[in-house]
Amino acid sequence: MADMKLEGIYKSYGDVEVLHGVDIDIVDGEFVVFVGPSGCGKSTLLRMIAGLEDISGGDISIAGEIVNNTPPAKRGIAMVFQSYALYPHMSVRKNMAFGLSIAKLGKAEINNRVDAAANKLQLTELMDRRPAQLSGGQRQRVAIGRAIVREPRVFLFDEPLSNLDAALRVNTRLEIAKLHQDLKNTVIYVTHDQVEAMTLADKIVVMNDGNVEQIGSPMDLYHRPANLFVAGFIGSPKMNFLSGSVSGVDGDNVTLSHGVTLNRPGHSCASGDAITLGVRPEHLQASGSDLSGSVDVVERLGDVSYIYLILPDGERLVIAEPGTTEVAAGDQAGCGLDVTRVHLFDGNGQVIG
Amino acid sequence: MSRKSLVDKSLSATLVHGILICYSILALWPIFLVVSNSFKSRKGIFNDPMAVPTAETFSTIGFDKVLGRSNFDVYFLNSITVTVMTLGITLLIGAMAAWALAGYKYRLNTLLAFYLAIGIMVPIRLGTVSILKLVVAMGLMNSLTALILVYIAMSLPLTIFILNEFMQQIPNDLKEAARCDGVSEYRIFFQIILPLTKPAIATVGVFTMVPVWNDLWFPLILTADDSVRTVTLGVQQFVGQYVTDWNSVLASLTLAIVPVFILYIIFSRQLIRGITAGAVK
Repeated sequence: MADMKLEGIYKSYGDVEVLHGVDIDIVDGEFVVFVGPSGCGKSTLLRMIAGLEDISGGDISIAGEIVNNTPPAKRGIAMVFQSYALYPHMSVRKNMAFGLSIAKLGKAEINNRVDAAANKLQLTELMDRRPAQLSGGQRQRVAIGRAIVREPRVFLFDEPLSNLDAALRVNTRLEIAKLHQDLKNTVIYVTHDQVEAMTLADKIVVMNDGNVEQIGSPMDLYHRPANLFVAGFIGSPKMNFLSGSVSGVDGDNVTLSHGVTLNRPGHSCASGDAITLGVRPEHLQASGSDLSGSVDVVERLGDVSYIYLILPDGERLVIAEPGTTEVAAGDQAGCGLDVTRVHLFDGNGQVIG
Repeated sequence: MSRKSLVDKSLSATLVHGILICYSILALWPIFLVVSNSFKSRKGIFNDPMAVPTAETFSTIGFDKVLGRSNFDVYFLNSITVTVMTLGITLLIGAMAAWALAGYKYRLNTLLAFYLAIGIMVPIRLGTVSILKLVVAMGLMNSLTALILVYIAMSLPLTIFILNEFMQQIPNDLKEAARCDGVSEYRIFFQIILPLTKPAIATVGVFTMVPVWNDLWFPLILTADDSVRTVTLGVQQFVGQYVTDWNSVLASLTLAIVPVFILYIIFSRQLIRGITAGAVK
């Protein structure tokens, strides 16, 4: 079993603190994705789990055993690097077998494991080539193969798809998902791409500026974002944010300056408080009149159309309308708000209710 | 491509090749003279120094004298010992130091790199008197060890400098991937870093080898004894104040070219292999 626990993880380089106390629980077999904008500390955190960076504070434990000072090879992890980091002077076979021969495994055992991994990843024909003779996708598979043969408790992926072109990225994403279904190992996967996070993860850890913003399943984060950052980061196109204020409070009901009244039991709003209203483009109906403005741009993708509105107060709004819309740029258009699918955030960006 | 630029290109290629051919002739001419005259009789050398040996002037008297009547085999062995030992130790220590500077980040890293680079700027011959005192104090006068130590000191700075630059190009991920594979730091160095820096090591090897093999200055000062003379110093016995035995001088110089030539071929093969390995990428 490879439950993993990160408790109060801090990291500083000199005086600069880049991780400010991260707590994450990972259950055995889970596919966990760390996602966040570049520079948020997600790669650093992964490298700390791998044992490639010192831990400035806190504990990392794998299967109940604290591994803060355990060297990488003894942690039962295998890492796939963004640059693949294949040994350029070794053949594919040697690349995959090198770690095992260091671990002093028997020759037969090494060959078994390498051949099995090669089979699984369709590398059998490439075993005698050098990395320089492989395409990007093939190198990626070799890097994954090198991780598989070690039979680790935990796989670590550091932005493994970002060097591949778009089509290959989708394919490899599927392969990684299938691989996880097969092997059922714990996986920790770092990416800045929310689509990868949404499609692969059992559990997503959204990070920003060295803090964990929210941890949850993909649908949790989509439907119940805890704050403005997560709401804006998950989903494409981005969630619309309209700033405004509370114009009236009546028990559990909050009335906003936009003219909508929302039911938020347990809220602590007072009249006049600054708030932000969040609503996803796909949750706005193109027919309706809750909000209206002039159409700036229309994008038609066939299955869906994006209508970019400019509201009278200058704020911008995107509406996703299924199918092909009739609306054209320059038109006046309105849209309907579904109050059950509206998110409300307080002045500090935290969700209300 | 337009016709004009094609013409321009071939013109500049001809020019470049012309200059290089001229330079090659200039550089190889003395060597040609040494080798061709070493196979001539004394009379042949003086009558027409530029001529190639003919049936009339052909003679191996120089080689006979050098191989038969002097300790040339000893000098030869001394030169080879000094060069090979220097080369081996310099490359090993130099590569390790370069990797320490390039692969690990610690305080004083830059300062240390700068300190090691100073040796490139200060000619070691300026310190001859101190070196002589040091060698005498250590009781290493008239020993090959003294020469080897001095040459290592002389070669290290440039070796470290060049290899350091080269090793900084090796991506960090490679080292970390190896650490995840459980490879020890020494094995990372010997099995991953060294194979990847082969071309650079070959280059540095050639740079180190030639001045050491050719040096006359330090043998003259540190190893005057007949049993520890190097080839360059050994040759001097044929150069007299009044009479110079040109046959022997030229013959021993010709012989001295052979080992360097062989070492160069070994290294240049590596060099070319390294270059082509990168090219097919």
